[in-house]
Amino acid sequence: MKQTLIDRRHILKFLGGSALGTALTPLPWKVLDDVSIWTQNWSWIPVPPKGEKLVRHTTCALCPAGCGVKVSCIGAQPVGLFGLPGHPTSRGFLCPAGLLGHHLPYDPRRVAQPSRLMAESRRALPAEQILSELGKGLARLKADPAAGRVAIIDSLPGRSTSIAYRRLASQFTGGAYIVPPDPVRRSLGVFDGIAGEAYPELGIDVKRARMIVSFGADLLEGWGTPARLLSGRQASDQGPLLTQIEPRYSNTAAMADSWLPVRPGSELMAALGLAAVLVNEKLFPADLLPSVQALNEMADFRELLAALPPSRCGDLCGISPEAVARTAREMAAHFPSLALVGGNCSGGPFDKNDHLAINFLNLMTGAAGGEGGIVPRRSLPDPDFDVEGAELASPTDLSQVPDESIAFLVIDSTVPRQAIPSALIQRKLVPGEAVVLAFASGTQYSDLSPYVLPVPLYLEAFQEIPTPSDSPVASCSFSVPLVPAPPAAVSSVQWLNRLASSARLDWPELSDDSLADARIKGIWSCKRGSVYGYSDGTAKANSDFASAGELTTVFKSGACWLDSPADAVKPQLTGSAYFRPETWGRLRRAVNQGIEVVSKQTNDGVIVMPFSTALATTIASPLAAKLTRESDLYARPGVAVISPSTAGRLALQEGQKAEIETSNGCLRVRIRLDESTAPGMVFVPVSESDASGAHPDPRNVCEISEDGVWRATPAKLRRLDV
Amino acid sequence: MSDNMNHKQEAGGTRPVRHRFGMAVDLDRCNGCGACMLACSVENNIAPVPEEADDRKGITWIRVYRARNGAAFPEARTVFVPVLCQQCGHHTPCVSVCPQQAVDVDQETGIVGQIPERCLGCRYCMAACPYHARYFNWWDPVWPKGLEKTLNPAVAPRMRGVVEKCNLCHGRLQAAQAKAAAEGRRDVRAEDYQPACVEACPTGALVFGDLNDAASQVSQLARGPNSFRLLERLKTEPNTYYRSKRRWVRELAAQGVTRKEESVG
Repeated sequence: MKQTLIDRRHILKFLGGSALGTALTPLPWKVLDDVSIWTQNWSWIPVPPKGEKLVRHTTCALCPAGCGVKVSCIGAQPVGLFGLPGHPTSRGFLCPAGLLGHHLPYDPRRVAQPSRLMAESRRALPAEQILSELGKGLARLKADPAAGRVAIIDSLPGRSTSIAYRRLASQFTGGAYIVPPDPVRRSLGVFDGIAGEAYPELGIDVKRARMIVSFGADLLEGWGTPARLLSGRQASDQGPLLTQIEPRYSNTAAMADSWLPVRPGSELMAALGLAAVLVNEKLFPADLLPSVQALNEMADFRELLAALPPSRCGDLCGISPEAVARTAREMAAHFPSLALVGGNCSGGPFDKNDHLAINFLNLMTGAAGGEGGIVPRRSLPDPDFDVEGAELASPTDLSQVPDESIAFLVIDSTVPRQAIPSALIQRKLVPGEAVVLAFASGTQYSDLSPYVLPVPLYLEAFQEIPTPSDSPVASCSFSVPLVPAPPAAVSSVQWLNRLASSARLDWPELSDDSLADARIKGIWSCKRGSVYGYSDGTAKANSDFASAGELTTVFKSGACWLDSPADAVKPQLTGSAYFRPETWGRLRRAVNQGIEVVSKQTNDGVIVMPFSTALATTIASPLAAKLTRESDLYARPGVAVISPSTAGRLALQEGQKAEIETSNGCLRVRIRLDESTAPGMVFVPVSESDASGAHPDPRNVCEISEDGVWRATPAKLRRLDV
Repeated sequence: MSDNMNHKQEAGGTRPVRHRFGMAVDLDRCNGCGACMLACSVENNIAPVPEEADDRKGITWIRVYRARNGAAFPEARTVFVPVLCQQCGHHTPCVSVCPQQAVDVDQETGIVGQIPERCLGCRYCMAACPYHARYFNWWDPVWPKGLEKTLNPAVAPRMRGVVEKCNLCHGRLQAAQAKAAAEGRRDVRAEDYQPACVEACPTGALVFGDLNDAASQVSQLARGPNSFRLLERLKTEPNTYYRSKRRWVRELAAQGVTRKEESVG
C-alpha cells in the first residue's frame, strides 16, 4: 500500500486553494465593509445632538413680511425651520434666507461684543466705556443743537420699539427719526387719505387681482409678502396674469406671463403710455368717466398723454408699440388689474414721479380703493402705555434730511440688510465729526459705524413684527426666543436706556417686556380681528380673550393677530394728487427729463444697475454661500452681468476682470455674460454679507439723486488685465 | 412618456416594487429660489464644503439648473430645472455597477438607496449615473463652530471618500414608518411624509407621491400631456417627472435626445 506523503507541493496547493477559496467567500468583502464602517466613525465627524424632537412655532423676523415658521427642535435647540402651512398670511412660504435662520447665531461674523473702530481695526471695549463716550457726545448735542442733529435709522418701523426711537429723536432739536425706503409704503403714499381717518393706511389685495403689471417689483422673490402672490399662483395654473416691466431679466421676469424689458429710467413713460391707451381707447371702468372728464380739463394731462401714443412710448422705452397697446388692453380685459411699483429690495427705489405715474394706472383700472387693488386698512392698534406729554418724532425719509447735518446717528439693524447705501448716509453726516452707533448683530454698516453695540438676533429675543406694508389688513406677531443670546447682546431698548442715562436725558426706563405687553394690551383692547394660534391650530376671535395676559401667552407660542377686513369704504379719489394740475405739470417735466436721460443711454456708454437677492443679508448661513457657489441661481458677489454684444463692443470676455467707472468712483468686477441682458446694461449684485471689503457695495459708486434714488447710473466699463 | 405607468416597475430589472415613490416637478412654477437645495442641505446634514468647491465638487442632492432657450435679448428665456436622483425604476445604472452593494432599490418604496457605510468611494456609480445626481465627499464634513448643534439627528453625517445622493429623505421615511408602526400599520404610504425639498418649495413646483397610485396627484401630473422625463431613451424608467406648458422647454429636452442619438448613430 502506497503511503500518502504530504510534501511541500501539497502544502503550497492547500495554501493556494485556501487563498483562492477565501477570495470567493464573503470574507474579504466583509473585511472591506467593516473597514469602511470603521473609517466612517472618526472622532472629528460631528455627531448630531440627541434628544426629544419638539415642534415649536414662531414668526420670521428677518424681513418685515413676518412669515410663520415651524421650528423642529431637539430639546431647546432648533435644527430645522420650515414654513407654517396654516399661517394666514405666509401660508407655508419661507424664503431661502428664512430656512437658514437657525444658523445665523453661528456665523463667524456675528457681533457679540461692544466694539469701536480704532486705527482701522475693530476692538472690543467694555460697554460702559463706549456708553460713556457716546453719552458725552449726546449731552453736548443736547446743549448745543447748532453742532448738528441727532438722527435714528429704524430698520423695522412700526414696532413698539420704534416708539422708543421716536421718543429719543424728539429729545433733540432737529432730531430725525428715519425710516428706510420701502417701495410699497412709498407707492401707497400716493393715495394717502383717500379712505378717511378711520382707515389711515392702505394695503394691497394681491390675492384677488386678476392681472398684475409689475414695474420692477420682484414679486415672486422677495417683494412685500411673497406668499400672497405665490399662493394665488399655486391655487390655479392661471393665477393672476403677470406682466413684468423692468430692464433686468429677473427671476420674476422669467416666471411672468410676459416681460417688457424697458430702458432704465423709462418706467415713468411706460406707465403713462399704458395710461394713454386706457384713456384714449376708453378702456377704464364706466364709473370713472366723470373722473377722466375732470382730468381732461387739465391741459398738462391732455398734452402729456397725447405726447405718449404707443409708437412714441415704445420708442422711448425700447419696447414694441404693440406690446404697449396689448398690455393696456389686457389690463382692461382683466379688471381688477393692479399696477405695482417695485424697485429691487436693495437695488434701488423709484422716485416720487415714477410712483405717481405708475399708480395712475391703478386709478384708471379702478384698482385704487377697490377689490383686488389698493384697499383701505386700519392701523395696528397703538401700544397701550403712557406716552402722554412725550413728543414722538415723525417718520421721515433720509433724503429729507439736509446734507452734512447729522452729528450723531443711531442705526438700528434688526433687519439684516443695508436698505440704504452707506454713501447716502455718509453724505448726511457732519464731515469728520459725526458719531455713528449701530445696534447690530452682523456686519451692517460696519464701514460707517465706529461704535457697535451687539443686539440679539432672530430666534434669540422676543421681537415684534408689525403689519407688513403690503398687507390688506393690520397684523401683528412676535418672534419667540428659542436660543440664548450672547451675554453682551441686549436689546436696543436696553441700550437706549443706558445711553440716555449716560447722557442724562429725561428718559423713562423702558423694557422690552413692557413694550410688548403694551402692544398686546392695545390689540386686546381694540377687540377686533382674530388670533391664529399654532400650538393648538385654532383661530380665535380677539374679543374672546378674557385678558391681555391670556393673549400674551398665545403670542409667546408664536401666534399671529389679523385685523378684521375693512368695511366697504368708498374712497375719495378726487382728493388725491391726480386731480391737482400741478401734479401733471410735474409729471410733464419728469417725462421731458426722462427723455433726455434715455436718449443719452441710447448713444454711448453703459448703464449700471445694482440689484439685490433674497440671500444678500449681512449675516448668513454658510449654506447660503454654498448655494451661490455651486449653482448659478444667484449672482456671485463681485460680478458684473453684461450681454455678449456689450462684451464684444468692449472687447471683454467671460471671467475677465474689469472696472466700472462712474462719476462717484470705480468698482472692480469680474465679467459674466448673460444672453438675457440688454445691450448696454451692466447689472451688479449687492453683496451685503461681505464685510471684508473684497466686494464693495456697488451702490456706493452709483449716482444718488437728491431724493435718494440710485437706480441707474451712466458709467464706463473697461477690462483691467490688458 | 412611458405607457407602462400603471404597471409595477421592476427595479434592477428583477423584482416588482410595492409602491413607487416619485416626484412631479412643474418647471413653470419653479422660480429658482433654491429653497429646495437649502432645505435638503439642512435636512440631510450636508456640510458647507470649503470655498474652493464648485458645482462639480460641491454636494447638493437636489440642484436647480438654469436652462436657456439659446436666443439673444430680448427673446432670451430661462427655465429652472431641479435635478435630483431620478429614482430609476428599471435597470438602475448605479445599482448594477456598484461593487459593494452599497446601492439598492427598496422593494417597498422603489427608492434607490445609498448606504454610505458600504461605499468604497470607487465612484463607478457617479460615472454610470446619466443624470449627474450623485456626489462624492471630497472633504471631511466640517461645520463652523457651534453649527454642529443644528444638525438633524435623524441623519448621520457622511465622511470624506464616499458617494451620496438624494434618497427622498430617508430620515423622514423612517420616522413615517415608525409612526405607521405605532398606529398598527405595516405599510407606509406616500401621504405619511414629504421630502424636505417638497415641504420647502414655496411655489408648489415639487409634488411627491406614489406613482403606483393612479389617484394620487403625482400620478395624475405624471400622466399629464406636458409631462416628460429626463433621458427617457435610456429606458431607466425614472420616477421623477417634469412638466412644462412652454413648448421650447419640452423641445429643449427633445433636441438633446436627438443630438445624442445622431452622434451615436
